[in-house]
Amino acid sequence: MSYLSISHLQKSFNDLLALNDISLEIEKGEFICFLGPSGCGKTTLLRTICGLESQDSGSIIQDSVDISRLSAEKRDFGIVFQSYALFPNLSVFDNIAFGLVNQRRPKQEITDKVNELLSLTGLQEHAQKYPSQLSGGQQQRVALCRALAMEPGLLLLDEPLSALDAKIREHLRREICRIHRKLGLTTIMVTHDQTEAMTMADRIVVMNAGRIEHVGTPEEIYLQPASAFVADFIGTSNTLYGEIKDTSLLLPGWTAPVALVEKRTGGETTILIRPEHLTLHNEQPSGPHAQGTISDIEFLGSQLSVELKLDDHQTQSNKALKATLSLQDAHHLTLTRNCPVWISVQPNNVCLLAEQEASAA
Amino acid sequence: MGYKTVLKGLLPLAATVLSTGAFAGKTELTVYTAFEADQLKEYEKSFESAHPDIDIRWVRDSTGIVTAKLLAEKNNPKADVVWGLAATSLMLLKQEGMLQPYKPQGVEKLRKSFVDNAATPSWVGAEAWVASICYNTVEGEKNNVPAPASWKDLTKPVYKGHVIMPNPNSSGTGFLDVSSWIQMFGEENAWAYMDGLHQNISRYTHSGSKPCKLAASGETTIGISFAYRGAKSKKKGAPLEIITPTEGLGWDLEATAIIKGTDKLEAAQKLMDWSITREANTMYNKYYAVVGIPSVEKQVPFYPENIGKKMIDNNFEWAASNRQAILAEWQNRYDGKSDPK
Amino acid sequence: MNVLLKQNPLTRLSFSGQGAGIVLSIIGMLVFLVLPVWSLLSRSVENKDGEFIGLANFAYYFQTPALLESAWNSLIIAAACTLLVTSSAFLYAYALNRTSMPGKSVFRLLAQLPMLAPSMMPAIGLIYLFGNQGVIKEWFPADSVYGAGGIIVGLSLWCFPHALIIINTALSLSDKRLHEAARVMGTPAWRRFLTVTLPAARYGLISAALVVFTLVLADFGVPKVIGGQFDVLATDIYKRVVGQQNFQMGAVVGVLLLLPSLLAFGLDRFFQRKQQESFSTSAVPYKPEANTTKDTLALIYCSVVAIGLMTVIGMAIYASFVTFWPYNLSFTLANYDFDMMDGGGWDAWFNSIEMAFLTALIGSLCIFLVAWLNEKTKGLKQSRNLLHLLAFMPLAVPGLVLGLGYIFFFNHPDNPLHWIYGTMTILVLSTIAHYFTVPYLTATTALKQIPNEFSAVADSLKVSQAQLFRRVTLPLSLPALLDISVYLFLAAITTVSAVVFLYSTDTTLAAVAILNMDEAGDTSPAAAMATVVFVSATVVRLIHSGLTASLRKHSQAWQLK
Repeated sequence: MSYLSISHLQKSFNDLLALNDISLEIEKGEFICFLGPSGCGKTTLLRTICGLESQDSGSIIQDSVDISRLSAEKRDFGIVFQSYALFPNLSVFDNIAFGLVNQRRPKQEITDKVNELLSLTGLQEHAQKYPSQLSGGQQQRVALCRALAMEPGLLLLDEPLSALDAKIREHLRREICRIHRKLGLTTIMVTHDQTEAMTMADRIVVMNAGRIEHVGTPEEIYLQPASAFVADFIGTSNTLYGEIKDTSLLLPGWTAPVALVEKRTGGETTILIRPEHLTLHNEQPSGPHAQGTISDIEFLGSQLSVELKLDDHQTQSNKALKATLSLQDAHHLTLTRNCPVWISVQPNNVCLLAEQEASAA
Repeated sequence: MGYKTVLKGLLPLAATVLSTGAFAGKTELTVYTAFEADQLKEYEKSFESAHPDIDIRWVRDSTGIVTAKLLAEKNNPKADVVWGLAATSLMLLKQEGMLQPYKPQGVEKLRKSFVDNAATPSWVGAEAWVASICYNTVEGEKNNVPAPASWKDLTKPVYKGHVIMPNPNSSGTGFLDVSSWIQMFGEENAWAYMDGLHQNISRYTHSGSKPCKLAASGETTIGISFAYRGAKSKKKGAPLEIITPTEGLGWDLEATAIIKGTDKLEAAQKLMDWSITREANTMYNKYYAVVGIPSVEKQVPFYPENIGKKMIDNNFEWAASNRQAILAEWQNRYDGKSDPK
Repeated sequence: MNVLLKQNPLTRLSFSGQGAGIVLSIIGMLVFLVLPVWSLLSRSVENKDGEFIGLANFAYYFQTPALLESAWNSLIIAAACTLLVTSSAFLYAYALNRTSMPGKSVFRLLAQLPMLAPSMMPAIGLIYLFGNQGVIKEWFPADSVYGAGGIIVGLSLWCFPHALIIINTALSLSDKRLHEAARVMGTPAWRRFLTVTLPAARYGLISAALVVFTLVLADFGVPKVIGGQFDVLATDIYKRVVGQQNFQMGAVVGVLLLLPSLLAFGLDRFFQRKQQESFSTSAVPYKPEANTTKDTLALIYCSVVAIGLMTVIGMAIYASFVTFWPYNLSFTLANYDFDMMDGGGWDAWFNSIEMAFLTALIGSLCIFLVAWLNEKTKGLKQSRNLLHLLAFMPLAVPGLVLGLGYIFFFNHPDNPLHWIYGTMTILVLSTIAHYFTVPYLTATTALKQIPNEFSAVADSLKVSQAQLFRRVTLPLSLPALLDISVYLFLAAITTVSAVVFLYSTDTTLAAVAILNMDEAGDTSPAAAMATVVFVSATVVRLIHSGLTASLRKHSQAWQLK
């Protein structure tokens, strides 16, 4: 049985359905990210797991114990908030020792434990400082130490990096991963930052409007998004509507059908193509392709982002297509605004949405 | 840390407050009074040295207020004894059946007018306080306001805005003025007189001594008050003349009575006994010229001489039974201040 | 209780202690605030024997021209003071915020002087300045200081700091960027004042005006001392109740006093909500530039006001040391021999200090606890909303009305709390109830600054909420607690409004003694007692400043930001 087993959680605030039939299994030692836009329910889910919110129905089982109706102080977790929530009137040492002191552990044990955590996070020389004397990144590390001090079975991180500068964020990201690997602690992190989720998580839980849209490894989520929402939220993607005939797919504006990798029943469907999977040509390529006009070009440093409009007037999608290509590739092409281009795509880069998703979208 | 010490210091204080206990072994008498505040300490000390087992707990206010309070508490009396309240007020309480009749020892030595005329008296008088006019000579000269000789003088236009008198609704002195005017001038003439006087009054005060104190400090030239207060202020050096108007002086007794239903009857009777002793009378005589036992009377310093002769033949019974009607009429006429200035 | 049952079992079980606290707080508010006011209302429609007679008492009131006139007088006085105080306090606040005149901190301090005195003190000061024997009698604009003129000036002086605090806050919140934008567009100074400064401060002005209006309506210290024959509602209620023991009529006047206060309270709430909507948290504070003409004018104005305040208070202090005003001006301490006078003697002062200490101590703890329960606990949402609403109610109930309500409610023989009638306890409780709202808001603001996450962190660390309260919440809130306790202390030592109906012979208070001495014509001793109160309040204020400073020093390490 998995370490944390959530089944059919339901929770609403007045008229708003915050958690809609959430079920999820988390294995011991996993690093899980709850990812989604603000208001998607990810924080509510986290708070429900630790008992800060109570669900209307559904159950949570942690380490074979049904904790569904236990209050927060009876559950086994450590938590880190975006705002650090360090006690400003206590020193770094006292903050970390706060829970241990309350349990009247022997003094030596407390000192050892705190020092161990301080050295784990490289904060040894700050032990006697007050939180306000530390930088944001240091404060967040103190908060992490405090959460770890009680050796909880589950570590919850509520947008822990969002308040930090880009550089420090990246640094702390690696730091958290390192600590996670070292301690092997089951960890759930809430974030709205997809890069954070991609780089840190073993598995990502993408949420939207109180529901889980997709659970999977970062690769799965990126390459095989379960829904248009996931595809749109993780990176950027072009949504197109096509028609499946036998083993090929006909895209509007395309000269010829694209071969399908997976077998599907026929009919209309929604497909996704990542911008980097579109190949641009100055001349008409062989094989299935479409023709368009460049409407905008953005220089992104290592990459070039190109916006183009398909010439086909029957295009159902009123969205323009986006393509990205490396500077190197761009060198071989002449790309200026309003110049005509041809596009093509590899069959294995065409992502078909699940059937029910396709009809819903 | 300073604040901690402060908090620690506060705890014993709170503890003492919470444990406000009764005084062991002593009977505590709740005594309502309208005696002047500066007399209370001495009266209390004298009585308590004679009766060390009894403690007096004073509740002091103006005559009218003490009366109103006693009436309001009729069904749930809080006072044990009334010592030093106008006889007219006590008569009213007697009519309401609130007094416990008791014949104190030595009552036969008192002036007859100082004792309730029932077989077992409900009240006995301590001293008489007498209406007087306090006239500030310095302000009189400055404002060209001559000293009045009679009550009637006060209605003259020259006194406009220079006279202050107590409100009879709250002040016993105010009431004895009004009651004496009605007795002297007759009902109709008296109200006409007061209508005229009202034109000259700058303010009605709550207490009977305030007009004289205001005259003493020059806030007003003339204060209608009582002789004791004038003498007291004069002693302090106020440029006052205490005028006893020719028509006669209203007066009232400050008297003692036991409230019916007290559970400390024995102590209350001791107080009533003591209140008419020679010793007590001598004590009253320090402040008042006319007291219950005539033989102790000596001239009071700064007091107008022969004040007793000008005192009217006061009909207390009449005053007491008409008290409420008179006050209601007065309030109707003058308490409105339909013309504030 | 319906509210309890509606909660889901999780919150109900885990927070039962705090839930009990909330329910207890609500019961407390009901017993010490709502029910007394209710008793007053019901008494106003009863006759002497307690029978219901509808609006007959009111009909009688409105048919008596004398009584009706008090109501009219009250309105005139309140309107005049509101106008005078709001405008003068606005100018003063403007000088403090928008000019770079020197000595601002001194002016800020001096403006607070009247808050350290009972309202009778400025009135007594005015008598010695402008009374018939006043030193500068001729300077008074009206015929006589006794009457409307004296009341308006006295109350205006006393209310000045209250209005100043509110307007000052409003002006200091104004956004610098708006001024700069207006200036860049070439707007002349007078137009900038009309289009930027005034609109930004308008809710502050409205709020100050309503506060002054309510204060003036409910105060009776000033009209009692200097009103002469000019009756107002507040003195009327006192006359009916204390003078005539006519409680029904007192209740009627009480209701009449309550209505405009309620109206003002409602308006204030309405405008406050609007202000919150228009207030931007990102405002950049305004920094005035030097401008010789403007600064000089501001300096002159503030000096005049400050000297005025000091003179009036100072005059009362001076007169308390004079042997026999105005005939013998030699120095004496005789006026401080309170034991020979009406008012309760020095005991009154001891009682006052005791009452103020207890009010500060018990009041701070209770109010802070209520604010904490409301701000930091979960569940029982409806109950907490009710509690929050009740916490605002005292602002709308004038002290006299509350005091009278206490008589009706607690002096009823069937009331199980009857025993507190006439004790120190009832004085303390009524004062806490009367002054509940401002400290409650202070505590709530302080608690709001403490992140809600703390309680979750404590849960995760298996630390109880009580421990969290002791080790973190309380230390962080100490400055606010100090502010609250000193506010309560000052309010308790200077108030007369509610307690004047509730003191007994054993619990006379200094502020009430001032009234009684003045009533007996002992003006100099009244001035002396006022001086004693003023000095006590000042000392406590200084101790508070000292404590706050040492606290700040002590906690400097963790309050860098």
